[in-house]
Amino acid sequence: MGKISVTGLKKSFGTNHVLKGIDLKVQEGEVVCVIGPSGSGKSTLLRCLNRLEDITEGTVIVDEMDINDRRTDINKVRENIGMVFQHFNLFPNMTVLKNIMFAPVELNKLKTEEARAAALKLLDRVGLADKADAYPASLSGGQKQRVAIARALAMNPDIMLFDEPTSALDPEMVGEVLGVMKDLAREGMTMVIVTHEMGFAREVADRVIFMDGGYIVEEGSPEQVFGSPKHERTISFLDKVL
Amino acid sequence: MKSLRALWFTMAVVLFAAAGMAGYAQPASAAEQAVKTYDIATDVTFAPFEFQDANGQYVGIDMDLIRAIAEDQNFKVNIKPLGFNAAVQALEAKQVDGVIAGMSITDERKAKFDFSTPYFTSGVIMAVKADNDSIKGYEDLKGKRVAVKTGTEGYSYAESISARYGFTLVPFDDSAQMYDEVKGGNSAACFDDYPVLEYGVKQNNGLKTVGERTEGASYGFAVGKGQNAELLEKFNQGFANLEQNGKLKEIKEKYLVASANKTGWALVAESLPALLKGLGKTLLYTIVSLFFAFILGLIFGFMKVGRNRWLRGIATVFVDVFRGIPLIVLAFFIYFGIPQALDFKMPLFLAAVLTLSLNAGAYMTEIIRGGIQSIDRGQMEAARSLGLSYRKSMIKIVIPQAVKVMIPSFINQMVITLKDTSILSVIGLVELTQSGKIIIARTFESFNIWATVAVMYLIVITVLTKIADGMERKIKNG
Repeated sequence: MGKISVTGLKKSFGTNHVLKGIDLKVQEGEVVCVIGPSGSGKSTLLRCLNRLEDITEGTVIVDEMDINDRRTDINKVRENIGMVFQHFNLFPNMTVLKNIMFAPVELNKLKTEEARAAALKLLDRVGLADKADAYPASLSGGQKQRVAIARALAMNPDIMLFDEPTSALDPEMVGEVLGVMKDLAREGMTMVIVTHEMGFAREVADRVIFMDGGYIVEEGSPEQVFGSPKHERTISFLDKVL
Repeated sequence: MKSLRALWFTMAVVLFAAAGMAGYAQPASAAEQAVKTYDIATDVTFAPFEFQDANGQYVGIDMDLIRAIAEDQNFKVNIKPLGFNAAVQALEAKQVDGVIAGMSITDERKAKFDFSTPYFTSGVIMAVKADNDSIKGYEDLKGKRVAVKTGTEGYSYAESISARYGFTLVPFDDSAQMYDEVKGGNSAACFDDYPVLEYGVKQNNGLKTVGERTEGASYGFAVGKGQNAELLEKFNQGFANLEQNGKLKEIKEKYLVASANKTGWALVAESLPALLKGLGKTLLYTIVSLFFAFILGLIFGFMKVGRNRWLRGIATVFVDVFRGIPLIVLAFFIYFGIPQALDFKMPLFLAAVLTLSLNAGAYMTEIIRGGIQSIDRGQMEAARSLGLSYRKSMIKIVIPQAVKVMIPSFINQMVITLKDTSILSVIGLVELTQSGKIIIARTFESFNIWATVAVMYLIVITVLTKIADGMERKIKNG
């Protein structure tokens, strides 16, 4: 069955057809990197996986639950799917620690004291133990994104979705974020990553998916996709970015 | 979210209803007593027939007359100084039982009202600035502007001769404004009922009468056509008694003889209690209205940012309607229009609060919608992706940030609503502006009183703004 199973997924915004028929399976512990030119539908596909976008057609099954079914408690499903955004979306009116503790406490997953201990541990893990009491505005982009990852991990999810997590960062900060993500991958987290970091994809991904024009054009191991791409559009895209 | 909305809505309805009951309570309990009480509307600014004395009491020929008749005929009166036009409209809308306001008996009015026996014979006279020697008669008015008061005999008379003598009319709503127009030189002359003008001249309004007075029109007490025949009968009976026992003559002489008014600082000091009382009313209406406006704003604001197309539509219509109708039109519609159409009495308090709440509520809706929409969509998405419901994300993440954005707009709206209460003086609400107008009607001291009123508004608004700024800083810093 797999962790995530997408069949015949279509998504339109009015007359703009963004996804035109996507079939995708992600196995438990698998790291999938989605690459492709902008406007190809990568981010929309990712946002359909936790129903931040309602889909037009098809099914999205996560942990054997159809997430677009009215009977599915989407909030419960989302607790199990962490998401990291391009623009971090940290809560600016809370300290770093509060950002991380917020969801577990609010959703009664942990008591305040347990949540604090867990949050401090997560901060240590992303290398920001000293920033617990800082507000997001005082952090660099790389630090913000690492806090965002810690915040998503605080709910202890099985799946992590990354929507271009390094695109808004200054180049010298990309490394620190990718480092945290590599650790996660090594620990066996199921991850779907929309990214422009080809080197990272090649190194970390179990599978690379190339999207263009609302379709999955080509997929395979990093060696296949980067080493001997078959499709013409994949070749021309890789030519431009590598 | 749904149950929360329902709760707010219920609260608003209950409070509105309670406010309405409070307004009804007075006449209802009075009616239980053996002595009947009638609501009598009058003008606010028609000295010597009706005006407020320094103690805030309504006095004048009309006032003394109706009270003397009430005493003679054993009934009670509840005087409602609404302003002349508002009084006439209130009678038509059956908001009051009768009108006594130096009202001339005309055929046109007879079609709508029943009149008592005439109690005063007036006539129209012209007045010009005291030091104006160039205008000696109607012939000198050619090409000039002439100030008149709407709905008066002076207006009809001036209108009837305006074409012949070639002058244009400039209408005003009260005598004091009309006199100031002439005193300031914008209009060459004014026409008014002679006792009114004579009284004004004696109070040093800066004018002098010119020429002869016209054949007098008769003043009558009016009730609605076919309504309150009993009250009319009592009035006529009582009037006849007063005529006989000489009390009528006493009353008339009392007001057509000059009395010295205070001026300058002494007047301001004397007027201060009345003005402060008006200011209190202004603040009361502002606070009560803002409370309801805030609730309306919450209800419709959340409807506007919500996901339901129908609720969004309803909220949009609400905002468009109440933001699109001028406050003064809304006030007239609620206080005169609705009661006339549905045949019931609308308490002034309720009408005033409704008008201000609906108007400010439309703006509050937009402030709340704008505040919520100003928060980056990513905040909602981040909260939802963590597993929080729409409602929880809204309350815990979006609203706390949105409130900070809204505060300056709330303060702004508070200041606007406070100033807007002055517009409600048109339906007879005695708040700060109306209190000032009433004092000027008696004393003709425009400069001192308006300056005092302006300073009072300034002080209150400045103080409130400073307090609000302090609160804003506190909220922003933690």
